[in-house]
Parts: sequence; C-alpha cells; structure tokens
Amino acid sequence: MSVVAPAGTDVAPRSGSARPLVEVEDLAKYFPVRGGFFQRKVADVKAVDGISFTIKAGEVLGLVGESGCGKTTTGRLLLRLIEPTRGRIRFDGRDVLAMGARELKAARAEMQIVFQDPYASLDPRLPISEIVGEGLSNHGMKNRRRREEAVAEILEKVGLRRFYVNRYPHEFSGGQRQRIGLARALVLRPKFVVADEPVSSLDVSIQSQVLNLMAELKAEFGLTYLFISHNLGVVQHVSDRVAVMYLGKIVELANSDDLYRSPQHPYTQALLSAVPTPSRHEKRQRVILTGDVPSAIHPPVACRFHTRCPLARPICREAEPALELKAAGHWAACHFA
Amino acid sequence: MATGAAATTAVLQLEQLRTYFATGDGMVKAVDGIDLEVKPGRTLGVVGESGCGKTVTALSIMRLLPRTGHIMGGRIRFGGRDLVQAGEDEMRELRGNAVSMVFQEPMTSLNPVFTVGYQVGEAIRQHLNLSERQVRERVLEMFQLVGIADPGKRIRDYPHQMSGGMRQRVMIAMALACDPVVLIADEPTTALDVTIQAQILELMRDLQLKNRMAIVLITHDLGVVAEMADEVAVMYAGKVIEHGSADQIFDSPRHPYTQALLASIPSLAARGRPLTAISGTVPHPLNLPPGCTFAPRCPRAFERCPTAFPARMDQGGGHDVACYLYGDQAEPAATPDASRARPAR
Repeated sequence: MSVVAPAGTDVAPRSGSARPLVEVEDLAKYFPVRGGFFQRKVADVKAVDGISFTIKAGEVLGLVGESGCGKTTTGRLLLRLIEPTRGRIRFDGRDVLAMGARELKAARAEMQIVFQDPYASLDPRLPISEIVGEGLSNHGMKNRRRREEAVAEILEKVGLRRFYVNRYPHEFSGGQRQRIGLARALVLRPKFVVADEPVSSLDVSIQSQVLNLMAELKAEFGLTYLFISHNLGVVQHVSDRVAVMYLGKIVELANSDDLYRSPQHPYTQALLSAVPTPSRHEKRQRVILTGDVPSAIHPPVACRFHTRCPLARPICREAEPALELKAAGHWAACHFA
Repeated sequence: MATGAAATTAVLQLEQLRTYFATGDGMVKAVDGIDLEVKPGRTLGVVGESGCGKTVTALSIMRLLPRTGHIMGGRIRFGGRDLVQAGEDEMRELRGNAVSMVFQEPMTSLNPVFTVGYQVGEAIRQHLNLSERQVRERVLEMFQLVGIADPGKRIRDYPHQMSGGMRQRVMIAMALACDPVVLIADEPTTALDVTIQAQILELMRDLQLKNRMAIVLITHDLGVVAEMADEVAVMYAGKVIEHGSADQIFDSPRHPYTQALLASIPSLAARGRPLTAISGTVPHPLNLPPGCTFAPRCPRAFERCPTAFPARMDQGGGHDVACYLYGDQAEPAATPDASRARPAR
C-alpha cells in the first residue's frame, strides 16, 4: 500500500546529485483511536501513510496541504519528536531511527523546530534568557557567562535587542515572539530547521518581516528548511521545491516554479485555483472541489482523492497511483497526470 | 466623505462612529470616527490587521459589544433609524432578521447542546410567525440553499458532528434564514481550508445574487477582498485610512499603508527577493502616536504627519485617502457628543 518511488536506488524524488541532508523513505505514522470498553484500540488515524522525499543541504522544501493532511506530523517525525509506525529517516547520512537516546540528543542540536503559535510555544514563566539558553545548557554549555553571551548574540541576529534577555514572553508582540522562537532554534547552530507554519499567526505586515529574517538567517548560517504551511503564496515565495500532501500522502513534488506554473495533480490544480489572489485582472478558471476532506481513519481506497476529483475514472477506485516522474524533477501521483 | 448621490441608496451608513473601551489603564479608542456605507446587492470589504477596529465596527452595528465597550458618538443609519439610539427590544427584533452576522469561529458561535437544525429553526421562530412544520420546511430549504447534502439527516446533527466547513454553512443558513437586508461577515472563512473557503465564498456570492443583500465583509485577507468586494475600506488603528472601489484600491492604492500591505503579500513578489516589510508594529491602543497613527512606520512621513490626523481627501470617483501626501487638510476635531453616547449592551 505504500508508494515507493520507482527507478532502482533512486528511491526518493531528489533534486540534484549531491548527497541530500535529509532522506525519508516510506515514512508512516498511525495514531491509534481508542474506544469502547477498556479503551481498546479500535482503529488507526493514518496521519502519514508512506511518504518518501529528500532535502538537499541548503535547500528549502515547502510542504503544503490542508488541515489534517499530515504535514505537521511529518515535521515532527523528521526530528523524531514522535516515533514513526514504519519507514526510514536519514539525517546527514545517519539513520535517525536507529539512534540511541544519547546519539539522538546530540543529533537534535543539528535539527531544530520553530512552532506555529508563538503564544503557546514559549513558557510564560521563563525569561527569554532561559527560553533561548535552555538548549545550550542541555547540550553541555554549563558556563553561565558564555551562555548569556551566546543568547545575546543570537537575539541580535534575529533582530531583538540584547537587553530583552530578562523579559518574559508576555512582554512581546506576536512577531517578536516568533523571533524568539527562531533564536531558540538557532542558538545551537543547527543545520536543519523544521518551520511549522512559522508565520501563520502573524499579520501580513509582520509576516513579511519574519519571512525576510528567515531568508537572511538561512544565508548567514547555511540552513536547510522544511517549511510547512497551508499558505500557498508564502510557500511559493520561500521554497526551492514544494511537496503537496493530501490525506497522509505526497501527491505532487516539484520545483516551486514548475509546481505553480504547471501543476500536474488535479488536487494541486484545485488547491492553487482556490487561493484568492489580490490581482483583480488575472481571472482564472476556478476548480471548486465539492465536499470535505475524507476521514483519515477510513481514507478512500486506491487514489485517496477520487471522492472529490473532477477527473476520477473507475481505475482511480481500483489502483493506487504511484508517485511517478512526469517531467524533469516533477513527480505526481495520478493516473491521468 | 465624498459619496454624494450614492448616499441616498445606501442601506447601512455609519457616520463618525466612535466605539471606546474602558480599561483599567485608560480609554481604548477601538473605533474612532469612521464613515462607511454599503448599498443593496453590493459588498463592502473592510480590511486591516489585528486590532485595527474591524470587528468592533461589526459588533457596534449589531450592538453586541462586550460590557466594557461603549458607542461614544456617531450614527448607524439603517432603515430610517439610528441603531445607536435603538432600544434593546428593537435591536433584538433586527438581529438575525434584517441585519445578520456570521462570525469567524463557527464552533464557538454554535451552541453545543442543541442540534444544528434546532438552532437554525430558533432564528426563524424568533422572527417569523410560522408553524412548527413551516419552520422545519424553512430549515430544510436553508440547508439545501447553503449546500448541505442530505439535510433531512444533518438537521439532527450536533455541531461537534460536523466539519468546520459544514458548521460555517450552518452559520450562514442561520444568518440568511430571515432574508437579511445586510449581512455582516466577520472573517467568515479565516478558520477554513482554502478549498472549503472557495466553496463558502462562492456560496455567499450566489446568495447575494439571489436576494440582493448588502454584505459587509470583514477580513485581513486581501485576496478574499479582491475577489469579493465591490468597495474597500482599509482600516488602521481605529480609523478608515483609505476607501474606494476594489479596482481603485488594488490598482492604484494611494495610502502608503495600503501600498505596503499590497506589496508585502508573498505571492506578488518574486521568489528569493526580500518582501516589502512594514517596519515596527501596530501602535498600542493606549499609546497612539500623535497625528497620523501610521506616521512612525511610514516610509514617506514628513513634518506635517505628527501634527494632526489627516482628513479623508477626495481623489475622485469615490476614492478617498487620509494622508497628507494628497492634501493638507486635517481631520476636524472630534465633537464631544455626550448626549448621544450610550452604553451599548
């Protein structure tokens, strides 16, 4: 039932010849649904159901999809914040899932996460110095003065003044809190950052400040991002390549320009056409999908999109389409793409 | 405000509306002297960032302000009366009937212990004198109208049994059940996914074509406004800073704030290049800068800006902008209007 991309050793759609920093193969996560007497497991939510992709060093891979498609779960799986049901994750050539506790902790210094909600993700009882410095002490920087110096330095890099270190989260605006979240992620100088909806809770004028900052930090620290968002405009702006998820599967993966210019999968086409644009003169043919996203507990068999797809034929209910190469670097999982 | 002949046809008109909140630290001028109007069959988009006063404007029209909020002055003209002066009984008769509102979060605005069918029926029972059977028929009709499949079964659902998109359809069914003259939609699609948002917006457009209701669409999403609105008002810190037709606002924005907002949308900028960002943050409502409230963040601010808030200067064709780049006139000082002020509860 998993989609294993074709072509020999090239198991995952990749963008270039250099060894990718992150390699994901047939990754899946099922969450048990409990119910009835004794809270027995009665079903699974197939949040992520067999996805494969790679991220090159220095690349920004955008991950888009609607709520419940599995994009946040994917981000957490990559850092092994939750354990996958099956699959393989390699980070910098090392098998993340085979790591012991100590090894994993060391690896986490190189892979960090920025969360969506800057109000919920910062402990309100800790001053900024401790929120940002906690990672440093966890990773062996016991000298308080050196830690404070490192915190002050990273705060300046994210555009906050160093005397903010003794303040508490409630004293900051949403945009500033997201800068603190970035500082916390970057203080350990990671190679890879999972940014999970980093600007979704911010106003447009603040959103662009934070996106610009993320681009500057990427250049300065040589970062690689997995950029998770439901906002297609933001993803287009920041990503080199984009993966589109639907009900736990990647349905399309391509260079950002190719994906937005010539989407192959009918879901991607509908998604892109549904985005309201501020350009009043660009009148597009709109594909309006009917119905809701089906439940991930009992996803439709074969192609998961067939219940809402305007192009669905009998084969879509019988065979699951594999994620196949449709054009140079452009992968799609559709019988008719 | 320059709206000459059009003013006669507006169904809802706000004149110098002021809504203030009494807080422990002082008076927050959430809405500070705004003029707006909307005509039958047309959509007025009200855009702005969090805290600019969009939602307070909507709640003032509905007279559903929280206890600390008070309408301190101005008029809300609707159907030959002034809603600022209307009594609570009169408001109860209007709400959900001639003037309806759709809220942002359908989960928190529906009652979890009643079926959705009962709740939509309640809006009808309140205002129309119908038998129980006719109410049920009307509810089924509304469910069909808003595109809820299998309405006979879904009316027995409780809110938690429905998806976000379905709940928002129920909210819209409830708001439209009594054929409102004005529909106020406060971020109606913000909590929804884009494919569901497209369905709901399409639905609102269809329904507007059918019954010519006027829509006040409040949103922070400029894309949604561009698709839906005939006219647009841009708000910043409790004031309308620019107003015009959607074409005027999107094709030739005049106010530096409107220009910056449009330029900061990622999909418009070329990838890899920095986005236009507005420096700083929205000022704290208890500590507003003097004069033009946008001046401290404005790339084109000059000496005149901090002296007084600018008047809305006519740019022709119904387009006006409150900015000294387009004229030197200051906003007339607020006339204390204590006799008209009343706590709106």
